[in-house]
Amino acid sequence: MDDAQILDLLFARSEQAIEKMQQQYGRYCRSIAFAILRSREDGEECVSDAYLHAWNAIPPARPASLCAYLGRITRNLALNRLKAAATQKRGGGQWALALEELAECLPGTLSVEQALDDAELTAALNAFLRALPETKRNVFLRRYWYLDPVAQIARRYSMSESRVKSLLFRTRRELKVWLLKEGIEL
Amino acid sequence: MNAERLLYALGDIDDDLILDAAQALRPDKKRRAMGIGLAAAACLVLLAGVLLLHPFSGKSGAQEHTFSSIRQIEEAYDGTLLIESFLPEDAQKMDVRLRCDGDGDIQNADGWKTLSVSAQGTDYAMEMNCVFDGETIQEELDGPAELIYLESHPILVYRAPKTEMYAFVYRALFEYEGVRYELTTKSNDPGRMQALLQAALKTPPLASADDEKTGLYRGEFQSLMGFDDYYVQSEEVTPGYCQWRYYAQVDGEDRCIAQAGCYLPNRPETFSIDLDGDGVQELICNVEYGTGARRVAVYRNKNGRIEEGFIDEELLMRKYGMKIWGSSAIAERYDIDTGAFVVENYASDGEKIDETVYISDPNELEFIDFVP
Repeated sequence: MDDAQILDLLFARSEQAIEKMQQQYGRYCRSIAFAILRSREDGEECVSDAYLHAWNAIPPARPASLCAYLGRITRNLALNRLKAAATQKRGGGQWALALEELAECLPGTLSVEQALDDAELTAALNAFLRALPETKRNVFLRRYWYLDPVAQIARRYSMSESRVKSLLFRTRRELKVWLLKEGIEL
Repeated sequence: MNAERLLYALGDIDDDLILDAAQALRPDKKRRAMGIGLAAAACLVLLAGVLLLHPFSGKSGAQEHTFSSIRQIEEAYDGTLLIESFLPEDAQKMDVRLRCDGDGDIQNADGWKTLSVSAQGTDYAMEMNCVFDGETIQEELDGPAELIYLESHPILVYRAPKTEMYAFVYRALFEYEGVRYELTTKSNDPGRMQALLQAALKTPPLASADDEKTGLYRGEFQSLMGFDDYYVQSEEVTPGYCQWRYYAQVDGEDRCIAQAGCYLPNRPETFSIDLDGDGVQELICNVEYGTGARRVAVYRNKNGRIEEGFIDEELLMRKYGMKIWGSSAIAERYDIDTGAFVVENYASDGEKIDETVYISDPNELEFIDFVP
């Protein structure tokens, strides 16, 4: 069943849509949630919540890619859980690590909030990512979109861990420069 | 919380970028299969090919495929399945059943629901069910269960009633890389299940010619990157795939100074050559990654600072016009006869494209600090 058919089911308020989303994208969403949360139980809850969010949002929303849409919701829900866990000091190691690494990309004294609104920031990120060579872009996204550990990325792209770390370091540095060019001052 | 906002903002990037990164991994299945095939030759040699294909009579919309070996399953699966570790080496008959969703295409591992494998060897018989889609294995425990941990994997093990042929029937339930496993072994050896689980999940160091107990041995070179006293340690990091690490005393402590991976039973191809003419030899490794990709890694000692060198993809694209669409797009090796790094370019269908590139200038390599 393709996306259009599942969306039609959602628009018709057919509960079969949930089953079809599970069949079609369950594994993808679980892999995102599990990678971020490192807990199958939390991951399962997170994915169930993602279906519920999709059910509530569609209609009126009609995403172009249901896969990316569900993945995005799952990621946000998983990040929220990870953040809560980190706040309560119940783990959240990847959360802290990712934030620490991404902090290197943030230029200067002006905060991102001050300089850009959400849409502009996303547009800048899109443009930056599209300008990167494919491997570099995907390595960056595996680390900061999917929150994959470095060792897993190294295996995925047939690289040593040193090389992945080096690639990520350079990409973060390039992002910092890019954000500066977009108007964020040091 | 700026970094936090950036982390969330990344979530809103364009769909195609997200999906590209999700699909970016397409390992070189041919080469990976070759590696796995070497390790599994003993149990696969007698068993090849698809026996039959028929619609599954169970849940609607699912299809079941039957095979006589796990080769096609391993090749189609985008990760590590632990089946091979549990198969008897001398299995004479193997029954493999894969249940898939939708169109039943086994190449689409995302549609896999369950996989069942059974095999009979001289010493023991095994049955295994793998669940891919998050379904719970319905299991009625009919014996005392024990929860054990191997390498932090929780495993529920219990003993089932004996059979006519076997005194010890054990069942184990566990998860590995998101797949749920239910393993049953039937044997007259009470330690069989434990030994199989250990071998599959524990990654013990491999025995070597010099010291079978520790897995350590003295390398093949007189000195390595200027270190006269060094040793090599091998570890089977995933079934059939081995990582070799080279250690030396750096600043008074044992430190990993180089590493190279390859499929068993091979050893990594290594060369000790002074590439840059500074009087200290570099270690050149023809490395095989778990995905089957072949790369070159060069390690050097710059006044006590250990660096790792590689051929940069951007150089290959910019200077040599190579088309790099994924990790299997290029195959690299150091050729001792020509003294050059040889890079071949492949299309996604595995066909070789463009001219082979020979890089003999070590300055074209990119070096970074080596962090093991």
